[in-house]
Amino acid sequence: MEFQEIIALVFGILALLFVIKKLVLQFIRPGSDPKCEKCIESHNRFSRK
Amino acid sequence: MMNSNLQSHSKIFKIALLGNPNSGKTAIFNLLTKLRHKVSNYPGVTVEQKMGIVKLNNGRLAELLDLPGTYSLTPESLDEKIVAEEVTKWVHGIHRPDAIISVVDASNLSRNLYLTTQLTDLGIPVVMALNMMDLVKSGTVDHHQLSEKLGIHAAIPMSAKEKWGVNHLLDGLWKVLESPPPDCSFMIPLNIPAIVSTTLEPLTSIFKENFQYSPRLAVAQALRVITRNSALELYRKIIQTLPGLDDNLFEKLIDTRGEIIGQIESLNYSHRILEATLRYAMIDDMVKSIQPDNEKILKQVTRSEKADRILTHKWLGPAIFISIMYIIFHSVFTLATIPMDWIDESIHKIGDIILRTMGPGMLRDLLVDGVFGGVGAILVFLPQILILVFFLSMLEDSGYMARVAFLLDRFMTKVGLHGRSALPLISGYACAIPGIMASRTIDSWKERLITILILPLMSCSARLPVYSLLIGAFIPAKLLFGFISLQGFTLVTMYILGTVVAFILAWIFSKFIPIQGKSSFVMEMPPYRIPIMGSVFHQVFTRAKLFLKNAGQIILAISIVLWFIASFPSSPNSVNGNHVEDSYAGKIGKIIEPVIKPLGFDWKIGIGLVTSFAAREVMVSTLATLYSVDNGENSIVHLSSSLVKDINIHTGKQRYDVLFALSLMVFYVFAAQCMATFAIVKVETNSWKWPIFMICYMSMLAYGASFLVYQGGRLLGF
Repeated sequence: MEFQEIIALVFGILALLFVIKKLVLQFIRPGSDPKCEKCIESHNRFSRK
Repeated sequence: MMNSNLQSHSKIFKIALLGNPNSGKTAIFNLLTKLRHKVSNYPGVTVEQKMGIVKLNNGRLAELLDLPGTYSLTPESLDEKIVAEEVTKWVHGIHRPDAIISVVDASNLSRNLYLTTQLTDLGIPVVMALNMMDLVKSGTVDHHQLSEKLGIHAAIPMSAKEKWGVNHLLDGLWKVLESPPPDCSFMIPLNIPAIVSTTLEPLTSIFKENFQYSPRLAVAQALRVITRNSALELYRKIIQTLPGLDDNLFEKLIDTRGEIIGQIESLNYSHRILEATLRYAMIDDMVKSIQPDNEKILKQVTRSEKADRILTHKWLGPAIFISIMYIIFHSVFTLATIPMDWIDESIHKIGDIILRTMGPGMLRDLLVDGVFGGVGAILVFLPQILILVFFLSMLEDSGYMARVAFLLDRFMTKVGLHGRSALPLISGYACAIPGIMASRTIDSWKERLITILILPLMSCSARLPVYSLLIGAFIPAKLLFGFISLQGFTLVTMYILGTVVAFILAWIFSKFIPIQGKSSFVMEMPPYRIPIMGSVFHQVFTRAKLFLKNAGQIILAISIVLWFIASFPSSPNSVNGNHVEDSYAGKIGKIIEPVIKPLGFDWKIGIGLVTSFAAREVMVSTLATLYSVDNGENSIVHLSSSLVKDINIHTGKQRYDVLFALSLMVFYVFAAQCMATFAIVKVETNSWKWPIFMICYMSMLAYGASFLVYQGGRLLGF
């Protein structure tokens, strides 16, 4: 395997892991998205009883 | 002794910041903490608690808590409930601050002092920040007399906008923190008729005996509890939380309240406005003595009021609003051309440098086609997004948004929304998430829920790259009636389409959502002002940072993954070099194709629709990566010309046309694609029901509308 192929594959695996992590986190921890970093905090205060 | 001194020196003081909406609270918070939270000339920008650290003048540190703006401690809306709950906790020793900074708008003393007088009842030292003194003629407010009459520890004239008076405020704070007054329980200065006092006695006794309130606080709480049921509800949790309280105490409070309300009404007093009547009588007397020119000031017609005669006029107001929005969206398309070309050229130059300097291989192809081809295609649209955010921030900071809320209230009410829905909906043009959070200022749950449900239909800035790409590629750059750009008009039409359908759906939802509840519209009209450019550019900078972070993380990662699945398995024998069609990505696209074919979309668009679930703008980087991989020349492609020139090898015809572009744009107006939005809807509604409902209705709407456009267009011969 060539040097370029090894580096490209490492990038590919890292990118794939990052996408999977993002997708999983989106569902199990909604507040982890940078766009709604206050979600969890506000959720605790605004929960409708 | 030494030990106790050390302990007291290491104590971190707690300070709470309270004030009316739009009194400049967050601006003072930013000045004190050196933080950069969003400030705006619109009531209700702070919808949640914020914490910061203040360095006092002697070097000691203190925690500063910024609470949402509120007109009183009687909760009406959700953000006011946060304040009322927090203050009730303080009264019972939970997270009690060492001092309160009461922020008062000096140009509107009477209304702002209402909350301050309520705060003075709590027994916590109060320092008043007499803000916006730059709007008041010098010498018109006697702040020494004001602090004396209110029984507070200092009233500090200042201007957060002009950044003066902050050091005096810190001095005043330190004096109070260093030597707190021994007793704040002086008698209530309200002039309560004796008969009312006697009637309130059973309630005041409960507060004194069970909660150990001072006489002043007991009377104040009795008045508040009879005003609104929401004030009584605060005690339900307190009674459950505090140890040693009788479980039946809440029922006793309910019964006593009911009896007293009956007696108060029989005395010809209205229990709902009793506290307000008594407090305003006291405040009016006070203001007369400390601000003799108050009557004259009230009678003066300000420049803002003169402007409002035009800008909130029954007919002129809406016409001006529509024109402003049209100019904004049109400018987004036209003003951004030069910086967009510049970014595009830079990305191509970097791609060329990589091609020249690196030897051929997989990494070079990944960098050129996947990284710079994919991410670069999306970076081109940054200027458009920033121009849109710049204009929206300017409008908000000028005070115009409050007028928009007022203008739209009547219409909003007819479709089941609320005047306060206006700002969240307009914020949705930048991003749905802050818009959904801003909907907390709407009192009624039903109106708030409907606002949340329709908000993703307002075209957010992430859709802008998709619209711009398709318009630039397929809509001719010609003028309508000699002066309206057809491309700009198409863009505005997409925004209008989303907005109009959102209102229609709001009306339908209001008929079918069974929750009852309507709130009245009371909103302060802040004076117009020249936007603070520092604040406007800060918002633009924040949006740019978020966009680049997104591009550098999820869009980059998706582009890399996509490059791999579009490049393998490599098939050197593929027809005309179109090997993407035979790749894994092509196969995935082919599986989706039959479902989306009636909309005019093919497998390439199918792949884009899948990747768009991470972020809408990923559609652009996906297409860019696919075309770059497909391009045998080893260079970054010009996406819009690639789309136009793409020939279907099976039919020999142009793959995409105007009708396809319109169909895809309409699909993007309505489609449920942003996962982050659904996450926040789940959080804000505390249920899976509403985000699932939202995904279902938006998906059906997108498919149906796109189908109508494409098939309808084909039937008409386009």
